[in-house]
Amino acid sequence: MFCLTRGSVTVRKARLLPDTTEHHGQGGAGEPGSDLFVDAVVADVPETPSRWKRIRRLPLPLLVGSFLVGSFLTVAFVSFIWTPHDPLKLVVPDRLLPVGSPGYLFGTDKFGRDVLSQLMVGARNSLFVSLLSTSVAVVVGGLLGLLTAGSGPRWRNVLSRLVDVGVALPGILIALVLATSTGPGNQAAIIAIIFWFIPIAARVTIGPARQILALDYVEAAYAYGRSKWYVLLRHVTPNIGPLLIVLASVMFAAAILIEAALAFLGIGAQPPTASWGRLLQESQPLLEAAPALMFFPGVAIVLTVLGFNLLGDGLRTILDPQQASRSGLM
Amino acid sequence: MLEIKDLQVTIGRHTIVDIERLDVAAGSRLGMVGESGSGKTMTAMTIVGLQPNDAVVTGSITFEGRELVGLSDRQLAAVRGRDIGVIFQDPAKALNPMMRIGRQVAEAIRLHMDLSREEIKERVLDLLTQVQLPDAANLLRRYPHQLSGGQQQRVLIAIAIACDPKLLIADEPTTALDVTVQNGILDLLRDLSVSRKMGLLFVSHDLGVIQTISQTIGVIYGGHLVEYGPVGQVIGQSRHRYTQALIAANPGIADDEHLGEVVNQRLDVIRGSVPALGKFPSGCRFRGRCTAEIDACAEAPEISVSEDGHTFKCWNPVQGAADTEGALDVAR
Repeated sequence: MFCLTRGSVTVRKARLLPDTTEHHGQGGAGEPGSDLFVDAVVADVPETPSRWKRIRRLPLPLLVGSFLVGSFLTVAFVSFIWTPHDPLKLVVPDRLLPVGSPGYLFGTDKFGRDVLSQLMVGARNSLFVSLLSTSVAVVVGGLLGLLTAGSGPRWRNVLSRLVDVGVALPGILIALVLATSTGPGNQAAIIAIIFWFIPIAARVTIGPARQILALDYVEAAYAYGRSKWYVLLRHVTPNIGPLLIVLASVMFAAAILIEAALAFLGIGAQPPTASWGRLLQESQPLLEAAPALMFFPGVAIVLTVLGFNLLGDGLRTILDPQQASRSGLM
Repeated sequence: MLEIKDLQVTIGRHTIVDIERLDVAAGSRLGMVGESGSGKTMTAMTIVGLQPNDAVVTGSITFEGRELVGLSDRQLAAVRGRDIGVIFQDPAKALNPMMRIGRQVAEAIRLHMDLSREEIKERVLDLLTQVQLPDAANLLRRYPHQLSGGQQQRVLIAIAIACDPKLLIADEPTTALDVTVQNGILDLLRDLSVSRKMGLLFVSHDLGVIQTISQTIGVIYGGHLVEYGPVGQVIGQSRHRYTQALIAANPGIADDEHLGEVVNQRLDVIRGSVPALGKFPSGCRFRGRCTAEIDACAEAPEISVSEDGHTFKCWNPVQGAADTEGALDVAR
């Protein structure tokens, strides 16, 4: 409710601004330089909001998403230079300590390893696998989508159907096959996610790219002599850019989930590499004895996935220049 | 400069455009007028090779002696923008919403001219000033949606003339704009054509607009060029029955004295509507809607030539020459 009210105020206030350009632009013969006019309009609007107010005006999902993603990244990077304990060090006398034990904030696992340290290193592993696989998949899939949208009717049909087949293949099966042929590990997870996501990224790109290719400004670009491939990269890509960024952040969330799932199934990261999925899997037999062992990696996965999804949602709202200036962000 | 001969554009089984001859001399202004779907836009776009992918083009379009029909996309790309500029109907759609104005104007220059970054910027500013956009320096950093329709159309004109083309094709450039803004754009186009000695091919369904801007008029019906000649002749002494009906369908603007007559007068209409593709009658395509039909109209009409290069395709042309004079006193 709070969020809704704030949003509507923002929109109303912003309506004033684009109107000014409409007016003094009429016929182009007007004088946009006439400072009097501009001043008069500006005077109606409260003075330029402070930085803090401008941040508060951003959509709530973006703020929450950025906070969660920021925390995730911070934890992952901090784990390179500092963890409370060596995440791999077995301290048998200290095993299965409860949450809040002195020196072990989140307790220890059945080998006496510090859970917090393992979580931190696990974040690093999630980041590594998801970042690599998502960026490769979005770039390759996006290009494949552009290529499909830009080719002639015959090739477009062939490529579209191939992409459809790719989307239809169950990703988890690809992962299993890869794991048995190349052996389990992070690289199997990365390759599986890449192959899983490429057709999806391509599929998502084809439609909007074709829509944009049918627009007048594309025709106009041809009319001043640009080639199709230049148009695809310079005119189409920026216009589906917001879509790709949103896609990337949603895929990132999915990749974290898949990485955890593959590690849980034993296909992904192998012991002793710390991974959230592996932590979950190891805690499974101890569900009754030490439920906290399952709780922390679970919460870490949920918050991170939620964070990336919210971030994607918020980015979609502000990345469109028209929407952005309407809500006074530019 | 631009010569079209026996141009036929066919999509599937239907011939959309069938024009025997149409010329634009260097520095002259040709207006093409016709109803929606008459093939006028298709003709204009075919000149720069922007016809739909499934269209088959036959005949000849030469630009400064160079044949354009059958050129590859790459060869055409060198002509587009550099020798021939194009302006589109809806300025709001013809600008990339994600690109700043300065960059969009610079695009064609970067492609066709070998200039340094500073020279390009200078040229862009100069172009924006030429299309009478005030405060050009400020405009460079704006996005299209921050401009009004009239400003957007001026930006498009700046893009189209960026590389000093010898021919400018304007496809209904004023249709999406309101009337006061229209005037400014028309004046600008005429001035640019005169000062740069640039040919102008202006396409519109609005006879009034066409009359103001052009020196020569081509009237298109059903893909055929039915009448062609100097403005005074085509509007003042039209011979083809379609042109005559088109002019008669325009509401006149009367002075105060005759206001009553005009207001109470029923507007003339052309009966029926343009047939769907492939449904045109044999012979003269205007047959069935024409009020002066004779038996000969079942045959395809031949081109008749009267004085001063005025040509028309009609078996039973309007005879009384002074007939339509003054009928189109649309004040512009």
